[in-house]
Amino acid sequence: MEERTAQIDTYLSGSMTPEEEKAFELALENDLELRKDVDLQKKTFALLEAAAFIETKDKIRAINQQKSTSSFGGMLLKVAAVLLVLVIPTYFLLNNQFNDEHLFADYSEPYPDRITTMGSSDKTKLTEAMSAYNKEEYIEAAKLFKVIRLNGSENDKVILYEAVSLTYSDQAKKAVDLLEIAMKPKSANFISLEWQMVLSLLANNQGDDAKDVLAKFLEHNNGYQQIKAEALLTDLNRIWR
Amino acid sequence: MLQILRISDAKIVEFLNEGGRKETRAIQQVLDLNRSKITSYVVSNSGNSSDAETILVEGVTELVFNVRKGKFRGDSSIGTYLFAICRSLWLKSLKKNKRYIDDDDIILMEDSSDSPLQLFNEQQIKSEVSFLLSGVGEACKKVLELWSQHYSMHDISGQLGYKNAQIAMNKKNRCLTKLKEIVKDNTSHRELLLSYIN
Repeated sequence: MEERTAQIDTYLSGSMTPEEEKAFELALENDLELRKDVDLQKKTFALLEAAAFIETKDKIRAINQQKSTSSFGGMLLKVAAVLLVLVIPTYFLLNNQFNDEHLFADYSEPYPDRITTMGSSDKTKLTEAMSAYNKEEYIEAAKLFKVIRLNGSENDKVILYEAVSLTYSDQAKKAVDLLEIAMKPKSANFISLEWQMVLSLLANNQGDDAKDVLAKFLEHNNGYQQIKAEALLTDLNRIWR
Repeated sequence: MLQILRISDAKIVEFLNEGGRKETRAIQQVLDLNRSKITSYVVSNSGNSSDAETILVEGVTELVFNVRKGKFRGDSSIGTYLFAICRSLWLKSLKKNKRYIDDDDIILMEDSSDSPLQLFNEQQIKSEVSFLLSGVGEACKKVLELWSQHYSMHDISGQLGYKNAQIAMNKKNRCLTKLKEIVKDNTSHRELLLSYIN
């Protein structure tokens, strides 16, 4: 019986070779029971498929509604946040344990110098930029890295250092814009850039976006900043439910 | 939404075939990225926002099934493909509901969003098929449900923890044989349900 079911399924799904199909159709012509069985299987599948389609549609409808509800909820949350900021700003000044900037301060540290310490860039503009970076002269460093990038020596590391420098010199918005354009999923330093994107978003008070990027980062991250990232996500989830 | 949070079309196809949380994420993105285009099409062709939501959900469901059936080959973007599906669904709906297009103007005849009767029929089909499936046992029910959602045997074996696609295939054939017997013994159920579908 199961073999026959399998054979009918192969026929109905169009998976038979032309020879098999011809032979099967010949058998169909001469075998009433087989014809009945094919008809029964067709109807059984039609019922199953109709129910599956409805089930899937219900699921998609629920996802669609969830999104609308959460957008509405998100809007309410933002309105509530604005009201809170207007009514009790001092509360935030004194108790800013969980605001985005505070999280940035908690979780960020400048990306270490992986260029001059590797001895790969003597007497170049890069050395000059790294020198400013290592002295924490981030405004200057950001400018120098930008020049290097615009001169065509663009690589992930330069972009990363420029983004870090921008973030640490109160230009987080520029860092976010730069990373958004420059990040390529296939690049060798994608994980570091993505982590920096999280930090720059936090510095730019975009905690909800930071949370989304962080969730994605944790999905494909191979251990880089893992513990920090998980702890940060927990904190962000507390704020941006 | 940030550009980098977007999943590529190739990944969407992969996620829709895989099922689970990734599939939900892919569906969310497809809905988000195409909602305004489809709403604007439906609304500017005599529909309202409720019609647009119905068409969008129906269209994404078809897209999901077509992807799993291997009918979507990536010749166009998912957005373009979905728009074509939704456009065709909307035109069909206009015809079915006796709206007609008079060159520039579209004359409304009746509402076309999911009617109570359609919703009733859908719930009826779901519960009756669930009744039929209750006779084959829980394990069989799962295999048959996934199979009818057009997941591949490889994905079914992954989702249900079978060793390989062949084992899933054998299980499906065994279960389908059982279900056929049940459907055969429930002729009245079967014919009533088929009348809803056709």
